[in-house]
Amino acid sequence: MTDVLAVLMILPGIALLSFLLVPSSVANRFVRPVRRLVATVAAAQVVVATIALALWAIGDSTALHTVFCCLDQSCSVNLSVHYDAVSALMFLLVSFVGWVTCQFSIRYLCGEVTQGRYFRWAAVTIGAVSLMVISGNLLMFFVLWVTTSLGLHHLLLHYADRPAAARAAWKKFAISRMGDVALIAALVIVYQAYGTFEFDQVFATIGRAPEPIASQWIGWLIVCGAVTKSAQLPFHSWLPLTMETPTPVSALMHAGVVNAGGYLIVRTSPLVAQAPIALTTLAIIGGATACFAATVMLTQTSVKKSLAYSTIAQMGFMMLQCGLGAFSAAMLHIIAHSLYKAHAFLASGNVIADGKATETNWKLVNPLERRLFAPIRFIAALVLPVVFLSASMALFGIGPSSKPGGYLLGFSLSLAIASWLMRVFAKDSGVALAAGLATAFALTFVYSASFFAIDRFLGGSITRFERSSPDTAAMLVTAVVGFGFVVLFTLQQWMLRARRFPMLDALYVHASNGFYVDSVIRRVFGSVFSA
Amino acid sequence: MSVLIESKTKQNEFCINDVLERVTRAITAVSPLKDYVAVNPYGGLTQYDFLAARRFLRSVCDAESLMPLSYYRQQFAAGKLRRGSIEAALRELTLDRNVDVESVTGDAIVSLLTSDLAIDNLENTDRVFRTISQCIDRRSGSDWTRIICDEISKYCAAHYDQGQSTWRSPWQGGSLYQAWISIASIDRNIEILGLKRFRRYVAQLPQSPEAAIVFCLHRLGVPKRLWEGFLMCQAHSIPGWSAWTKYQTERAARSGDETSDLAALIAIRLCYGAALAEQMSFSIDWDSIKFADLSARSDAGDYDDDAVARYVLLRASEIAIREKLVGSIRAAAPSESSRSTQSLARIVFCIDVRSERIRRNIESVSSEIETSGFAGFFALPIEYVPIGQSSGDGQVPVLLQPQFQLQEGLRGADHPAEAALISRKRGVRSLRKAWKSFQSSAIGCFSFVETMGLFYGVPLIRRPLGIGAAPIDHRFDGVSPEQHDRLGPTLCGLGDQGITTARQIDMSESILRGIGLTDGFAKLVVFCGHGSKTQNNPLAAGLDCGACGGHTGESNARFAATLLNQPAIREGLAERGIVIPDATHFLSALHNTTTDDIEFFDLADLPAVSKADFEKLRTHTNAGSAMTLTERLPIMASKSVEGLMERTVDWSEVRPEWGLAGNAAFIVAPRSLTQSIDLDGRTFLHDYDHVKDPTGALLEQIVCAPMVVAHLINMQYYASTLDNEHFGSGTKTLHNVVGGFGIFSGNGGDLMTGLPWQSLHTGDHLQHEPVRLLAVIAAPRDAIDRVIEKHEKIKSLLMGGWLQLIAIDGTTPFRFTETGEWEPIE
Repeated sequence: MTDVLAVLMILPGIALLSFLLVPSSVANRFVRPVRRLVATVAAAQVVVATIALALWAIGDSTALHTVFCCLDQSCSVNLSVHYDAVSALMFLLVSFVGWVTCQFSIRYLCGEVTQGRYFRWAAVTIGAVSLMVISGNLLMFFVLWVTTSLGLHHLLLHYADRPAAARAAWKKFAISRMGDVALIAALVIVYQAYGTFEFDQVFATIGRAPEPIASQWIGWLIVCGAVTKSAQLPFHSWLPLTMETPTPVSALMHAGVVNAGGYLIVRTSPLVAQAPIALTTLAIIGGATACFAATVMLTQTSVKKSLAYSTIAQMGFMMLQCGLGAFSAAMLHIIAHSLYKAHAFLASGNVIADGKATETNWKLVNPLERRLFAPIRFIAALVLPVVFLSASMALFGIGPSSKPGGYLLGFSLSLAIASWLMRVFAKDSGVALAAGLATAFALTFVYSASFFAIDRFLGGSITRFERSSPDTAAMLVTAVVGFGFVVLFTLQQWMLRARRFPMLDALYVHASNGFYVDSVIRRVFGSVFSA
Repeated sequence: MSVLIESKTKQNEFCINDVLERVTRAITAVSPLKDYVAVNPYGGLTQYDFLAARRFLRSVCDAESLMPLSYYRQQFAAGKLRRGSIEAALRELTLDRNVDVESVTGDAIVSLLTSDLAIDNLENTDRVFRTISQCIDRRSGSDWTRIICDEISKYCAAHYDQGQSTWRSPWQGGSLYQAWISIASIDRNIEILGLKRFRRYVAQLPQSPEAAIVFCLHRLGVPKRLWEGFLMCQAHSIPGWSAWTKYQTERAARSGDETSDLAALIAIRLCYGAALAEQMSFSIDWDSIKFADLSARSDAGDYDDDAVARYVLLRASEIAIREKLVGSIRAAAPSESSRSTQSLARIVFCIDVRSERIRRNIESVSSEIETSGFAGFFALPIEYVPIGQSSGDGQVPVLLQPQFQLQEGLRGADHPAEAALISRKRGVRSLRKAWKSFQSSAIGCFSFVETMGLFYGVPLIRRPLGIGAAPIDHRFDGVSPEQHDRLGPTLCGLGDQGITTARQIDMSESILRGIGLTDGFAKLVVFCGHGSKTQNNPLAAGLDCGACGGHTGESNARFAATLLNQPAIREGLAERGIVIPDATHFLSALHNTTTDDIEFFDLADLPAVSKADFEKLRTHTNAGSAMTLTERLPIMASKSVEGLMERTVDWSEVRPEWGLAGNAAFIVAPRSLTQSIDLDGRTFLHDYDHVKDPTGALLEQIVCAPMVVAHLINMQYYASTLDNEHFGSGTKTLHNVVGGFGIFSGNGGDLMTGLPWQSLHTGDHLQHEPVRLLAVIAAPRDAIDRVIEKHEKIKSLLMGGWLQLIAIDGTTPFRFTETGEWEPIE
């Protein structure tokens, strides 16, 4: 039974990957059957992934590891599937996003002479990323990781005659290959240390890791690979440049591919957890990326650029969670962000209509505003979120101290809700106040509920990361990143004020340029200025 | 000494103001997306003839305004273009004398069309001016032009942002030029990219854009005779932002503000060039540049043969359309319009080309229904203010300004009901706004995703499968479902603005006289505006009614019907000789151009006696809608009516409808002249009966307003088809809405201003055939002559070949030549 399921799971992915063999010219000529076929296979994969997830949920929660065939004599190069709660969720997610973008692209790209080519590479990308998330061994994972990247490269070159499109694609290409080098090194060391690439065997022998130094190296290298894949500082600059490709490619990339770095960490968490310093570094990189990109995002004037910086920020936050060892929270973040971002990109044509829906050029009817006295408002806005969050977490029996990074993540949620309450308190209507308070509580409730659900679901599939109790490094991360969030919060409040500060004005200018990271890279590495 | 310098500067400024004024005139403004309407991108050049304008344009940029020969080859091979038309074009152009075509023969052109030599000459041989960065890029293969364009785009987008960024530019309150000076003296980007010490360069610039332009022109050593061309070249290197800053300049001028954002833009563009030239020690040999006077008549020798041949072919394809149209008008026996009994209904549609199909189909369903064509704002220059709000959208054509505010309200409701609605609406809107700013805030965005992100899975399942609820219509925020029908224009507050009953009677009279509806009223008279219904479409306004400023015509139609149902107004009209029978009721409706559905409004006001008539009318219009939809199936490449209907709610649809693609002619005549002809949705139809207009006042109005608007729309489609990169907005798949008002194609670059490629091209062939508008006026030639003589602008449009005109005088058609004479058409 389980073997049948495993075969069913890989079949759509292999079918999609096989479009690699269809020349683009042929795909363009037979675009109607090609696009229908790709979308149908993608839909079939969603069905399979849903059934598999359901079976997993009612099953006995042991990882399903199936080796289909050995490709060499010693059986170290295999075609295999590793299916547990983590890959179950991810498999459904990428299948779903893949299907939505395919379905969207049928009408959206209709009439383009290269629509067939587009569907060919979309199929390859979706097939590769789907098989990647259920890969049974590190080698297969790596090969599909590279295939995903190459498929995406062709999608980024959909309008290859646009110079900016080529520039973005090749920049991404270069950064991805850097990550590949790190992963190849990690692969070699894993094989030397464990004698196998299979996840189940590696994970089973993890406690008896042969050489501490090897496990440190593995941790660091995997972190490097993840950081390049998930657009972390300073490897992020390609992402905002990829608007030169059709909208559904952005949706697929931001929702289905760019989070592969995070998935890599969660998937190999037993390995990475052996290198706590690497993880701590990852947390700092993630926190820095989140604060940096969120600031830049505020200043962006076009909808897709804002979304791109938003993705970088969200990936940073997700990496922060990974670095803190909060793997359940990171998985929740990956899934929620993917759904949100896929929708945001595909619906990005609605901004004009949305703008009209928030028009508030009111006729002055009642100029008197009944506002709460400012200090009371301020304190209430800061205290209430903590109360709400504690209450809802208690409801689900979640203790912040028992979860890795619990205090920092709880703190960021409280700050966010505080910023919401401050907005609501600034309104003069009692209805708005009531609705705002209810929303604030609902947010904490939804957060606790989804965290509770996903943590339970993931259960034994993820590593329970235990740091040594007086971990100064972790406390340092909490302090530094927490401070970063406070700065963001303060910045947000200052922006709403009319008063000007020269420092803040200068910060605005630098932030609107993405702090020049891309221009510096372009200047140093680009050949555009050849005299 | 200093006095000398000062007076010299003054003199220069005086001169530069003249030059800038001429440059400004040559640029056409573009509206923000929410009010997007068609404009003529060549609008500032219509004082020249068509080919001279083309040459002028191509002397400063690489824009194209003639289709390539390969296109005409296809047309010729497909039999759409015949030798006869080409010969006729040559004969007419010889007569018109704008272009010297004596050296060109029909044989030569036909052999061009039938040879298989590669003939599309892409090199722009007319080019005289280049910006400094373009010169340097050509020489060294660098990328400065693009870099400078991106920089300017960044500043302009930040300066004009109306809603995308959370952290707005702190300098938005000032002028564009001042904002740029402030930011550019902090910004390090261009220095990192290689333009060294640019911040220092900016610091030494004068305080006004005009002075900065003179400063840079002097630094570059540009002689005064070339200023205009060189500045025009700067403006056309970023045509999108030029058009946008022109819009800002016009808007400022209306409120009495003299600052010119377009001048600021030109100054900024020029500064980058000047700084670059100094860094690279680059200079241009200005003496080698010869710049001819444009007002002179163009000789064939001035153009490469290619351009003249293509111009002849353009005229030939226009003649082909004209011959077909004139032929069918001649063949059709004018239908009998006089009737003895009162007809069931008259529906007044907009002149829009999309109205033609549905008018023809409804008329074919029932002989009891008559239709008319009139500008879709129904001559009501209103700003329609949504309930509770202080301002709203201008519901007028681009040539006009709103004269007064029309308030939306709950029709027939008391004040407390409205107040409650307003308070609910404010609650909904302000919470929505707070929620939106929460999700895009620096600290809130993370928690927003973690809590609400999962819920986006629902629309992601729903929308591809096309199931679930219709998207929320924000117009009905705070309005309960049973109130929806009653939310509409009210007459409240009109008196306060000086729109007294007497003025309302004036307006009503001008509507009726404009349509030519002064007697023989049907039992029901329907004002039918139009609007589109699309999803996820930033250019949706471009599909709505252009006469209503890129919005739907609903408010104007409802207002017109409301006015004409007022007893006081009917009494006033009767005193002025227009007697509306008591049995006549005015209704309003909206033609949904995406689904061809017709929706009626304010049926609660329908008198009991008219109910049966209305039901009959509704049956007929439903039948007409269905027929129109079926007729459109082939051009929509849709297999079924259901498939077509789905397009209105499909978020991935890039061709929900064709808009005004295919527009080719504007007919000013009684409907009886065209009633029996299938005009294929390509014709603007304006009702006009010259017998009822002895003074020619009405004709003058039509020629100066609706005809010009039709010409603007036609030119917008023409220019976007011809040079989509320069005048269009590229592919929809790359559209990236900027600042809530405009569109980038991809990452950035210039603002895109025109129509997207998907609105013109099916993917297989062009849906819009690029020809200039053919105006057909059924009126005596001398009446038309009087109008043309009176309006220099119209005269230069006609004599410059920007649109063609034929008069149907009696039964004979005459062509208005470009020398201003009437030539009979056989």
